[in-house]
Amino acid sequence: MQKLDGNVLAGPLSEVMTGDATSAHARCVHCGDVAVIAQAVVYADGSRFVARCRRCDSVLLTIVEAGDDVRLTMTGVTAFTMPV
Amino acid sequence: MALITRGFGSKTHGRDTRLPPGQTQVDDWPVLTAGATPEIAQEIWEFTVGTEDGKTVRWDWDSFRALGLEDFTVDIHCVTHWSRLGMPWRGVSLDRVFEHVETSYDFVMAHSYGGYTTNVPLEELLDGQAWIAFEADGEPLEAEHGGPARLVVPHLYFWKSAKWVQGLEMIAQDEPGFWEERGYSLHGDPWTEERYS
Amino acid sequence: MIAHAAWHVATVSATHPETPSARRIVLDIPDWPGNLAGQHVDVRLTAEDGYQASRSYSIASSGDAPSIELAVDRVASGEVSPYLVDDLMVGDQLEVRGPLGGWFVWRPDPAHRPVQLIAGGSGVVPIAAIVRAHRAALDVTPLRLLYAVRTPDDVFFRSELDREAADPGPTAVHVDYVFSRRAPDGAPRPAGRLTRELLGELVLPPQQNPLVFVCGSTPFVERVLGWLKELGHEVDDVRAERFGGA
Repeated sequence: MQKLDGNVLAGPLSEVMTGDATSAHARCVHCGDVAVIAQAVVYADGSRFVARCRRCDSVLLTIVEAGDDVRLTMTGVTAFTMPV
Repeated sequence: MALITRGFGSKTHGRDTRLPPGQTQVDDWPVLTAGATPEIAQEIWEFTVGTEDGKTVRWDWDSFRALGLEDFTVDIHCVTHWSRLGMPWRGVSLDRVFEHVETSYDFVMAHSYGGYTTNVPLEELLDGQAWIAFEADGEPLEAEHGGPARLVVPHLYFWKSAKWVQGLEMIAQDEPGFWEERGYSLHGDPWTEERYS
Repeated sequence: MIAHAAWHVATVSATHPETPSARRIVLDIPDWPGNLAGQHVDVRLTAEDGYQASRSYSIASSGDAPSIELAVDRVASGEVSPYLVDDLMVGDQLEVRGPLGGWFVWRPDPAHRPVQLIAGGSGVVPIAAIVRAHRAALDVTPLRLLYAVRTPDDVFFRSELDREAADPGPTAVHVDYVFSRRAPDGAPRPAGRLTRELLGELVLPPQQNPLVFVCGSTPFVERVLGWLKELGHEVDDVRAERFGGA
């Protein structure tokens, strides 16, 4: 996997959310850091992504583009706030 | 129906018969890690197997390797579509490990330093099908490739071959590990392209 | 307002060499909703046997036109970029998902907040989109570009950046190059890697409250972010985009 950042999640997240989710703010449930998704540390390999907190390195969310499905797991974030 | 782009992928024709469908042969070893790379010193490394009676069989670095290191050459297949053929490894067969384990459970959850997990049926780890590897390509396993020790189950997609493996937990029923919970196949056979669940 | 992202069929309408290892590719996309400067697309290629690969590429263009321009650097061990640079021909079709991203974007700014752009290698692509959008809007927002690149032969968008450098007017972008391997004759400094000291000299100081955009490989971006923090820039005034090899 390549170490990248949350910008790369824009495509996969566009399949499950309207608007740009990488500009959304979210709070890390582990350390409380609030950042936009684009600022997260992301490990990516084309079809699967793990986003981690820029401050404490906990898993914020994972996305798997599995064939025609996109599966989003958001166990590490709260107060997810989208700009509208 | 996806649009086919002319000429893309045509270099993969004339395929090696050892390549499962949808795989491309590579000569290097891509690094795939879902997080920061843990650094585990040999002095603190240990390997454990936990069973249904609450017992934990435990080895340290030297006692585990004393179970019997062997060389093995296998093909590895990553779900991200690359395969490496004829790769030399050195490690301890899980057959040696399970000579010291009493269990009636049929499934295994592998646990790694750093918290990752992956599930494999026990029968797919025995009879010379799986190892705890310490060396690859004639060198000690680098941390980025799962060193000091990783599980190697070459007949399944390589996410099953847990890096930084810390131990095995016997479980009664098959349960999903980290990637399996996120949409990857519970089993992961590259020959039938069991990529996603 | 950011247009909704979707998959589109794109047809190659032009290609030309950008550097010895990179190529500019123009894609016609009839139903493209337009894009902002700094946005990207996911490019998906499908082989005859159904095998697919997708990668993210920044868009060098912006605006409402039903076409986009990419500039792709060949990563020898990659599987998508060698195809795009060496094999793709005019008339070929591929799929793109976009426009994507809303963080690493710049819009012409009525408040004229100064902008510092920092590019490493082919990370200049979205930065060039910002430079072009600034010029197209005749915006007088102060823009300064620091472009770290190996040699003069590796410079992307050469003629456009030269035009900015030669323009004495208020809409021109100030361009500084840092050549790591070989500098051209008459360069203000010899070839050498970007250092914290050089970064401090060549970027707008925190006192001017610039918005900073950094794009390059992951190691480049992380080095620069660390130095910017040490120089006193606030973390949230810096927008970064990292790319990998593919």
